Amino acid sequence: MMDSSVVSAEDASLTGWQDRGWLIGSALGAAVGTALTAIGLRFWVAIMVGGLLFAAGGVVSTRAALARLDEATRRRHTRSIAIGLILTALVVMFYAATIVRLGGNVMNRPM
Amino acid sequence: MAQTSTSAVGFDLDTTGARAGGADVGDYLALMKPRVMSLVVFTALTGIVVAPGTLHPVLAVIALLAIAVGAGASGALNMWWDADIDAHMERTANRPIPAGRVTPGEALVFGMVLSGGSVMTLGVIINWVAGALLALTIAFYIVVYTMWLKRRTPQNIVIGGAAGAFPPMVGWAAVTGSVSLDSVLLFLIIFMWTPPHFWALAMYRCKDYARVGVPMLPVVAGLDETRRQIVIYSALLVPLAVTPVLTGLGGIAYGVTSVVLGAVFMGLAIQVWRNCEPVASDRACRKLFGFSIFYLFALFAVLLGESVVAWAQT
Repeated sequence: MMDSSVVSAEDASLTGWQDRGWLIGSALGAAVGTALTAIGLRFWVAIMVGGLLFAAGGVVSTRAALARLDEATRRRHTRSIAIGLILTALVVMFYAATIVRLGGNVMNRPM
Repeated sequence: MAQTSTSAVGFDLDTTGARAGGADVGDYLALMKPRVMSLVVFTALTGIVVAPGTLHPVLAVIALLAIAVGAGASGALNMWWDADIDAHMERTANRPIPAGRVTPGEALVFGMVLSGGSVMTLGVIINWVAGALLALTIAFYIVVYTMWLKRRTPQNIVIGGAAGAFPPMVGWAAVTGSVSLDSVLLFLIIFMWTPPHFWALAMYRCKDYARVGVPMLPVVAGLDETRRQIVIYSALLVPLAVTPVLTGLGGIAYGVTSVVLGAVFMGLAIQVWRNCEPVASDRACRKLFGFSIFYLFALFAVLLGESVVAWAQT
Protein backbone atom coordinates (compact mmCIF):
# COMPACT_ATOMS: atom_id res chain seq x y z
CA MET A 1 0.00 0.00 0.00
CA MET A 2 1.31 3.41 -0.91
CA ASP A 3 2.26 5.75 1.92
CA SER A 4 -0.01 8.79 1.61
CA SER A 5 2.58 11.09 3.14
CA VAL A 6 5.10 10.45 0.35
CA VAL A 7 5.48 13.38 -2.03
CA SER A 8 6.31 12.42 -5.61
CA ALA A 9 9.00 14.23 -7.57
CA GLU A 10 6.33 15.68 -9.86
CA ASP A 11 4.36 17.02 -6.89
CA ALA A 12 7.48 18.43 -5.26
CA SER A 13 8.26 20.35 -8.45
CA LEU A 14 5.06 22.33 -7.87
CA THR A 15 6.51 23.98 -4.81
CA GLY A 16 8.09 27.36 -5.45
CA TRP A 17 6.42 30.33 -7.14
CA GLN A 18 3.16 28.41 -7.42
CA ASP A 19 2.98 28.21 -3.63
CA ARG A 20 3.09 31.98 -3.54
CA GLY A 21 0.16 32.27 -5.96
CA TRP A 22 -2.04 34.11 -3.45
CA LEU A 23 0.70 36.68 -2.82
CA ILE A 24 1.58 37.17 -6.50
CA GLY A 25 -2.10 37.29 -7.50
CA SER A 26 -2.86 39.88 -4.83
CA ALA A 27 0.06 42.08 -5.83
CA LEU A 28 -0.73 41.80 -9.55
CA GLY A 29 -4.44 42.37 -8.93
CA ALA A 30 -3.81 45.47 -6.83
CA ALA A 31 -1.27 46.87 -9.32
CA VAL A 32 -3.40 46.25 -12.41
CA GLY A 33 -6.58 47.44 -10.66
CA THR A 34 -4.86 50.68 -9.59
CA ALA A 35 -3.37 51.20 -13.07
CA LEU A 36 -6.76 50.68 -14.76
CA THR A 37 -8.43 53.14 -12.38
CA ALA A 38 -5.62 55.65 -12.99
CA ILE A 39 -6.12 55.55 -16.77
CA GLY A 40 -9.81 56.33 -16.29
CA LEU A 41 -11.43 52.93 -16.67
CA ARG A 42 -14.62 52.50 -14.65
CA PHE A 43 -13.83 51.64 -11.06
CA TRP A 44 -15.90 48.49 -10.91
CA VAL A 45 -14.26 47.12 -14.10
CA ALA A 46 -10.85 47.69 -12.50
CA ILE A 47 -12.07 45.96 -9.35
CA MET A 48 -13.25 42.98 -11.40
CA VAL A 49 -9.98 42.64 -13.34
CA GLY A 50 -7.96 42.97 -10.13
CA GLY A 51 -10.22 40.43 -8.44
CA LEU A 52 -9.79 37.96 -11.28
CA LEU A 53 -6.00 38.19 -11.03
CA PHE A 54 -6.23 37.71 -7.27
CA ALA A 55 -8.49 34.67 -7.75
CA ALA A 56 -6.20 33.24 -10.47
CA GLY A 57 -3.26 33.48 -8.05
CA GLY A 58 -5.38 31.72 -5.45
CA VAL A 59 -6.27 28.92 -7.84
CA VAL A 60 -2.58 28.37 -8.71
CA SER A 61 -1.42 28.17 -5.10
CA THR A 62 -4.42 26.05 -4.05
CA ARG A 63 -3.72 23.61 -6.88
CA ALA A 64 -0.07 23.45 -5.83
CA ALA A 65 -1.10 22.68 -2.26
CA LEU A 66 -3.69 20.07 -3.33
CA ALA A 67 -1.19 18.32 -5.63
CA ARG A 68 0.92 17.38 -2.60
CA LEU A 69 -1.93 15.63 -0.83
CA ASP A 70 -2.93 11.99 -1.20
CA GLU A 71 -6.00 11.25 -3.33
CA ALA A 72 -8.56 10.92 -0.51
CA THR A 73 -7.42 14.08 1.29
CA ARG A 74 -7.30 15.94 -2.02
CA ARG A 75 -10.93 15.04 -2.72
CA ARG A 76 -11.97 16.17 0.76
CA HIS A 77 -10.11 19.47 0.40
CA THR A 78 -11.53 20.08 -3.08
CA ARG A 79 -15.05 19.50 -1.74
CA SER A 80 -14.44 21.90 1.14
CA ILE A 81 -13.14 24.57 -1.23
CA ALA A 82 -16.16 24.07 -3.51
CA ILE A 83 -18.56 24.42 -0.57
CA GLY A 84 -16.73 27.56 0.55
CA LEU A 85 -16.96 29.07 -2.94
CA ILE A 86 -20.67 28.19 -3.23
CA LEU A 87 -21.43 29.79 0.14
CA THR A 88 -19.49 32.91 -0.86
CA ALA A 89 -21.39 33.04 -4.16
CA LEU A 90 -24.69 32.72 -2.27
CA VAL A 91 -23.78 35.64 0.00
CA VAL A 92 -22.82 37.78 -3.01
CA MET A 93 -25.99 36.70 -4.84
CA PHE A 94 -28.35 37.61 -1.99
CA TYR A 95 -26.47 40.89 -1.43
CA ALA A 96 -26.79 41.78 -5.14
CA ALA A 97 -30.47 40.77 -5.19
CA THR A 98 -31.17 42.92 -2.13
CA ILE A 99 -29.51 45.95 -3.71
CA VAL A 100 -31.39 45.40 -6.99
CA ARG A 101 -34.73 44.87 -5.25
CA LEU A 102 -34.45 47.75 -2.79
CA GLY A 103 -32.12 50.08 -4.68
CA GLY A 104 -31.94 53.49 -3.05
CA ASN A 105 -34.78 52.59 -0.69
CA VAL A 106 -32.54 50.57 1.61
CA MET A 107 -32.67 53.31 4.26
CA ASN A 108 -36.11 54.58 3.33
CA ARG A 109 -38.36 53.32 6.10
CA PRO A 110 -40.34 54.87 8.93
CA MET A 111 -38.30 55.07 12.12
CA MET B 1 -19.30 -2.58 8.53
CA ALA B 2 -21.07 -1.11 5.56
CA GLN B 3 -24.86 -1.26 5.65
CA THR B 4 -26.26 -2.42 2.37
CA SER B 5 -29.75 -2.86 0.97
CA THR B 6 -30.26 -4.99 -2.08
CA SER B 7 -32.73 -3.79 -4.70
CA ALA B 8 -34.98 -5.91 -6.89
CA VAL B 9 -32.35 -6.31 -9.57
CA GLY B 10 -29.61 -7.17 -7.13
CA PHE B 11 -27.62 -3.95 -6.93
CA ASP B 12 -26.09 -3.38 -3.51
CA LEU B 13 -26.73 0.11 -2.26
CA ASP B 14 -23.88 0.85 0.10
CA THR B 15 -25.17 3.46 2.51
CA THR B 16 -22.08 4.25 4.52
CA GLY B 17 -19.35 5.28 2.09
CA ALA B 18 -18.17 4.15 -1.28
CA ARG B 19 -14.51 5.03 -1.13
CA ALA B 20 -12.01 6.72 1.15
CA GLY B 21 -12.25 10.48 1.01
CA GLY B 22 -15.65 10.38 -0.64
CA ALA B 23 -16.69 11.77 -3.98
CA ASP B 24 -14.94 14.32 -6.12
CA VAL B 25 -16.58 17.66 -6.98
CA GLY B 26 -16.93 16.37 -10.55
CA ASP B 27 -19.00 13.43 -9.30
CA TYR B 28 -21.49 15.81 -7.72
CA LEU B 29 -21.62 17.80 -10.94
CA ALA B 30 -22.29 14.56 -12.84
CA LEU B 31 -25.18 13.85 -10.44
CA MET B 32 -26.81 17.04 -11.72
CA LYS B 33 -26.95 15.72 -15.31
CA PRO B 34 -25.25 18.77 -16.83
CA ARG B 35 -26.38 17.99 -20.40
CA VAL B 36 -30.04 17.88 -19.39
CA MET B 37 -29.45 20.97 -17.28
CA SER B 38 -28.10 22.89 -20.27
CA LEU B 39 -31.32 22.28 -22.26
CA VAL B 40 -33.39 23.31 -19.23
CA VAL B 41 -31.37 26.50 -18.82
CA PHE B 42 -31.75 27.30 -22.51
CA THR B 43 -35.53 26.82 -22.61
CA ALA B 44 -35.95 28.72 -19.32
CA LEU B 45 -33.83 31.57 -20.72
CA THR B 46 -36.13 31.66 -23.74
CA GLY B 47 -39.13 31.85 -21.41
CA ILE B 48 -37.53 34.77 -19.56
CA VAL B 49 -36.59 36.68 -22.71
CA VAL B 50 -39.81 36.20 -24.72
CA ALA B 51 -42.15 36.94 -21.79
CA PRO B 52 -43.77 40.37 -21.84
CA GLY B 53 -42.23 42.73 -19.30
CA THR B 54 -38.72 43.11 -17.98
CA LEU B 55 -36.59 41.53 -15.32
CA HIS B 56 -33.41 43.17 -14.03
CA PRO B 57 -30.39 41.31 -15.53
CA VAL B 58 -29.08 40.40 -12.08
CA LEU B 59 -32.46 38.93 -11.13
CA ALA B 60 -32.67 37.13 -14.49
CA VAL B 61 -29.30 35.48 -13.85
CA ILE B 62 -30.42 34.48 -10.35
CA ALA B 63 -33.68 33.06 -11.74
CA LEU B 64 -31.77 31.04 -14.34
CA LEU B 65 -29.33 29.80 -11.73
CA ALA B 66 -32.17 28.69 -9.45
CA ILE B 67 -33.92 26.89 -12.32
CA ALA B 68 -30.64 25.23 -13.34
CA VAL B 69 -29.94 24.09 -9.78
CA GLY B 70 -33.53 22.85 -9.46
CA ALA B 71 -33.05 20.80 -12.62
CA GLY B 72 -29.74 19.51 -11.28
CA ALA B 73 -31.43 18.55 -8.00
CA SER B 74 -34.03 16.57 -9.96
CA GLY B 75 -31.21 14.78 -11.78
CA ALA B 76 -29.51 13.88 -8.49
CA LEU B 77 -32.74 12.56 -6.94
CA ASN B 78 -33.51 10.62 -10.12
CA MET B 79 -30.07 8.98 -9.97
CA TRP B 80 -30.59 8.19 -6.30
CA TRP B 81 -33.88 6.39 -6.98
CA ASP B 82 -32.75 4.68 -10.18
CA ALA B 83 -29.29 3.57 -8.99
CA ASP B 84 -30.32 -0.09 -9.06
CA ILE B 85 -31.33 -0.10 -12.73
CA ASP B 86 -28.60 2.35 -13.79
CA ALA B 87 -26.04 -0.25 -12.72
CA HIS B 88 -27.37 -2.68 -15.32
CA MET B 89 -27.64 -0.35 -18.29
CA GLU B 90 -24.66 0.31 -20.55
CA ARG B 91 -25.57 4.00 -20.94
CA THR B 92 -25.82 4.66 -17.19
CA ALA B 93 -23.53 2.11 -15.53
CA ASN B 94 -20.76 4.68 -15.05
CA ARG B 95 -22.94 7.20 -13.24
CA PRO B 96 -21.53 8.23 -9.84
CA ILE B 97 -23.78 5.99 -7.69
CA PRO B 98 -23.61 2.68 -9.59
CA ALA B 99 -19.88 3.27 -10.15
CA GLY B 100 -19.46 3.57 -6.36
CA ARG B 101 -18.10 7.11 -6.34
CA VAL B 102 -21.10 8.61 -4.50
CA THR B 103 -23.27 6.79 -1.96
CA PRO B 104 -27.07 6.83 -2.42
CA GLY B 105 -27.40 8.65 0.90
CA GLU B 106 -25.06 11.42 -0.24
CA ALA B 107 -26.97 11.79 -3.51
CA LEU B 108 -30.30 11.97 -1.65
CA VAL B 109 -29.10 14.68 0.74
CA PHE B 110 -27.44 16.58 -2.13
CA GLY B 111 -30.64 16.48 -4.19
CA MET B 112 -32.90 17.47 -1.30
CA VAL B 113 -30.71 20.40 -0.23
CA LEU B 114 -30.46 21.70 -3.80
CA SER B 115 -34.22 21.26 -4.36
CA GLY B 116 -35.13 23.22 -1.24
CA GLY B 117 -32.46 25.84 -1.87
CA SER B 118 -33.42 26.47 -5.49
CA VAL B 119 -37.16 26.73 -4.79
CA MET B 120 -36.64 29.04 -1.80
CA THR B 121 -34.21 31.23 -3.73
CA LEU B 122 -36.56 31.57 -6.70
CA GLY B 123 -39.53 32.21 -4.41
CA VAL B 124 -37.86 34.73 -2.12
CA ILE B 125 -35.86 36.67 -4.70
CA ILE B 126 -38.04 36.46 -7.82
CA ASN B 127 -41.67 35.53 -7.04
CA TRP B 128 -43.62 32.66 -5.53
CA VAL B 129 -45.47 31.70 -8.71
CA ALA B 130 -42.12 30.85 -10.32
CA GLY B 131 -40.97 29.21 -7.07
CA ALA B 132 -44.12 27.08 -6.89
CA LEU B 133 -43.78 26.05 -10.55
CA LEU B 134 -40.17 25.01 -9.95
CA ALA B 135 -41.25 22.98 -6.91
CA LEU B 136 -43.96 21.37 -9.05
CA THR B 137 -41.40 20.58 -11.76
CA ILE B 138 -39.06 18.85 -9.30
CA ALA B 139 -41.90 16.97 -7.59
CA PHE B 140 -43.38 15.91 -10.93
CA TYR B 141 -40.05 14.59 -12.21
CA ILE B 142 -39.21 12.71 -9.04
CA VAL B 143 -42.52 11.54 -7.63
CA VAL B 144 -44.76 11.25 -10.69
CA TYR B 145 -42.21 10.20 -13.32
CA THR B 146 -39.28 8.55 -11.55
CA MET B 147 -41.01 6.87 -8.60
CA TRP B 148 -44.49 6.24 -9.96
CA LEU B 149 -44.69 5.97 -13.75
CA LYS B 150 -41.23 5.00 -15.01
CA ARG B 151 -41.33 1.37 -13.93
CA ARG B 152 -45.10 0.88 -14.23
CA THR B 153 -46.39 2.06 -17.58
CA PRO B 154 -45.20 2.49 -21.18
CA GLN B 155 -46.82 5.92 -21.02
CA ASN B 156 -44.10 6.93 -18.52
CA ILE B 157 -42.38 9.49 -20.72
CA VAL B 158 -45.62 10.82 -22.20
CA ILE B 159 -46.90 11.98 -18.80
CA GLY B 160 -43.49 12.37 -17.21
CA GLY B 161 -42.42 14.55 -20.12
CA ALA B 162 -44.37 17.38 -18.48
CA ALA B 163 -41.49 17.78 -16.02
CA GLY B 164 -39.09 18.65 -18.83
CA ALA B 165 -41.65 20.99 -20.36
CA PHE B 166 -42.08 23.24 -17.33
CA PRO B 167 -38.79 25.27 -17.45
CA PRO B 168 -39.87 27.87 -20.07
CA MET B 169 -43.07 28.31 -18.08
CA VAL B 170 -41.02 28.86 -14.91
CA GLY B 171 -38.88 31.41 -16.77
CA TRP B 172 -42.00 33.14 -18.07
CA ALA B 173 -43.51 33.24 -14.57
CA ALA B 174 -40.27 34.71 -13.21
CA VAL B 175 -40.88 37.78 -15.39
CA THR B 176 -44.67 38.07 -15.35
CA GLY B 177 -45.60 36.38 -12.09
CA SER B 178 -48.28 34.45 -13.95
CA VAL B 179 -49.02 31.71 -16.49
CA SER B 180 -50.48 32.65 -19.88
CA LEU B 181 -51.50 31.00 -23.15
CA ASP B 182 -48.11 31.68 -24.74
CA SER B 183 -46.23 30.07 -21.88
CA VAL B 184 -48.59 27.09 -22.07
CA LEU B 185 -47.75 26.81 -25.80
CA LEU B 186 -44.03 26.65 -24.99
CA PHE B 187 -44.86 23.96 -22.44
CA LEU B 188 -46.93 21.99 -24.97
CA ILE B 189 -44.22 22.09 -27.64
CA ILE B 190 -41.71 20.41 -25.32
CA PHE B 191 -44.41 18.09 -23.96
CA MET B 192 -45.29 16.80 -27.45
CA TRP B 193 -41.63 16.69 -28.49
CA THR B 194 -40.66 14.37 -25.62
CA PRO B 195 -42.34 11.10 -26.76
CA PRO B 196 -40.83 10.89 -30.28
CA HIS B 197 -37.47 12.05 -28.88
CA PHE B 198 -37.32 9.42 -26.12
CA TRP B 199 -38.95 6.61 -28.07
CA ALA B 200 -36.35 7.05 -30.81
CA LEU B 201 -33.70 6.53 -28.12
CA ALA B 202 -35.63 3.65 -26.53
CA MET B 203 -35.89 1.88 -29.92
CA TYR B 204 -32.13 1.46 -30.21
CA ARG B 205 -31.63 0.98 -26.45
CA CYS B 206 -34.52 -1.48 -26.25
CA LYS B 207 -32.42 -4.37 -24.88
CA ASP B 208 -31.06 -2.19 -22.07
CA TYR B 209 -34.54 -1.21 -20.92
CA ALA B 210 -35.84 -4.78 -21.25
CA ARG B 211 -32.95 -6.12 -19.14
CA VAL B 212 -33.78 -3.83 -16.21
CA GLY B 213 -37.55 -4.20 -16.55
CA VAL B 214 -38.41 -0.61 -17.45
CA PRO B 215 -41.61 -0.85 -19.53
CA MET B 216 -40.63 1.55 -22.31
CA LEU B 217 -43.04 1.40 -25.24
CA PRO B 218 -40.72 -0.62 -27.54
CA VAL B 219 -40.26 -3.20 -24.76
CA VAL B 220 -43.96 -3.56 -23.95
CA ALA B 221 -45.78 -2.84 -27.20
CA GLY B 222 -43.05 -3.77 -29.68
CA LEU B 223 -41.08 -1.82 -32.26
CA ASP B 224 -43.87 -1.56 -34.83
CA GLU B 225 -46.32 0.03 -32.40
CA THR B 226 -43.57 2.41 -31.23
CA ARG B 227 -42.89 3.44 -34.83
CA ARG B 228 -46.61 4.18 -35.28
CA GLN B 229 -46.72 6.22 -32.05
CA ILE B 230 -43.62 8.19 -33.06
CA VAL B 231 -45.33 9.19 -36.31
CA ILE B 232 -48.57 10.14 -34.50
CA TYR B 233 -46.82 12.30 -31.91
CA SER B 234 -44.61 13.89 -34.58
CA ALA B 235 -47.73 14.72 -36.60
CA LEU B 236 -49.17 16.43 -33.52
CA LEU B 237 -45.92 18.20 -32.65
CA VAL B 238 -45.11 19.75 -36.03
CA PRO B 239 -48.29 21.86 -36.43
CA LEU B 240 -48.31 22.66 -32.70
CA ALA B 241 -44.80 24.10 -33.04
CA VAL B 242 -46.14 26.60 -35.62
CA THR B 243 -48.89 27.97 -33.34
CA PRO B 244 -46.71 30.61 -31.59
CA VAL B 245 -46.88 32.47 -34.92
CA LEU B 246 -50.68 32.61 -34.61
CA THR B 247 -50.58 34.08 -31.09
CA GLY B 248 -47.90 36.61 -32.04
CA LEU B 249 -45.24 35.04 -29.83
CA GLY B 250 -43.22 33.97 -32.88
CA GLY B 251 -42.48 36.08 -35.97
CA ILE B 252 -41.79 35.27 -39.61
CA ALA B 253 -38.35 33.78 -38.92
CA TYR B 254 -39.86 31.49 -36.33
CA GLY B 255 -42.70 30.52 -38.68
CA VAL B 256 -40.33 29.61 -41.52
CA THR B 257 -37.98 27.72 -39.16
CA SER B 258 -40.77 25.74 -37.53
CA VAL B 259 -42.31 24.79 -40.89
CA VAL B 260 -39.02 23.78 -42.55
CA LEU B 261 -37.59 21.93 -39.55
CA GLY B 262 -41.00 20.43 -38.84
CA ALA B 263 -41.06 18.96 -42.34
CA VAL B 264 -37.61 17.43 -41.76
CA PHE B 265 -38.74 16.08 -38.38
CA MET B 266 -41.80 14.51 -39.97
CA GLY B 267 -39.66 13.05 -42.76
CA LEU B 268 -37.30 11.43 -40.24
CA ALA B 269 -40.25 10.07 -38.23
CA ILE B 270 -41.63 8.49 -41.43
CA GLN B 271 -38.19 7.01 -42.12
CA VAL B 272 -38.31 5.40 -38.67
CA TRP B 273 -41.78 4.05 -39.48
CA ARG B 274 -40.72 2.60 -42.85
CA ASN B 275 -37.37 1.07 -41.86
CA CYS B 276 -38.10 -2.19 -40.08
CA GLU B 277 -34.84 -3.97 -40.87
CA PRO B 278 -32.70 -3.83 -37.66
CA VAL B 279 -29.65 -1.94 -38.96
CA ALA B 280 -31.67 0.57 -40.99
CA SER B 281 -34.12 0.97 -38.11
CA ASP B 282 -31.29 1.73 -35.68
CA ARG B 283 -29.83 4.27 -38.07
CA ALA B 284 -33.19 5.97 -38.62
CA CYS B 285 -33.84 6.14 -34.85
CA ARG B 286 -30.42 7.62 -34.13
CA LYS B 287 -31.00 10.21 -36.85
CA LEU B 288 -34.40 11.18 -35.43
CA PHE B 289 -33.03 11.29 -31.88
CA GLY B 290 -30.14 13.55 -32.89
CA PHE B 291 -32.28 15.79 -35.06
CA SER B 292 -34.99 16.13 -32.39
CA ILE B 293 -32.45 17.79 -30.06
CA PHE B 294 -31.41 20.20 -32.81
CA TYR B 295 -35.09 20.84 -33.68
CA LEU B 296 -36.08 21.91 -30.18
CA PHE B 297 -32.90 23.94 -29.75
CA ALA B 298 -33.47 25.71 -33.09
CA LEU B 299 -37.12 26.56 -32.36
CA PHE B 300 -36.27 28.13 -29.02
CA ALA B 301 -33.13 29.81 -30.39
CA VAL B 302 -35.15 31.54 -33.13
CA LEU B 303 -37.79 32.66 -30.62
CA LEU B 304 -34.98 33.99 -28.44
CA GLY B 305 -33.27 35.68 -31.41
CA GLU B 306 -36.49 37.37 -32.53
CA SER B 307 -37.08 38.78 -29.06
CA VAL B 308 -33.51 40.06 -28.77
CA VAL B 309 -33.74 41.72 -32.20
CA ALA B 310 -37.11 43.30 -31.30
CA TRP B 311 -35.64 44.53 -28.01
CA ALA B 312 -32.58 45.99 -29.77
CA GLN B 313 -34.80 47.88 -32.22
CA THR B 314 -36.86 49.59 -29.50
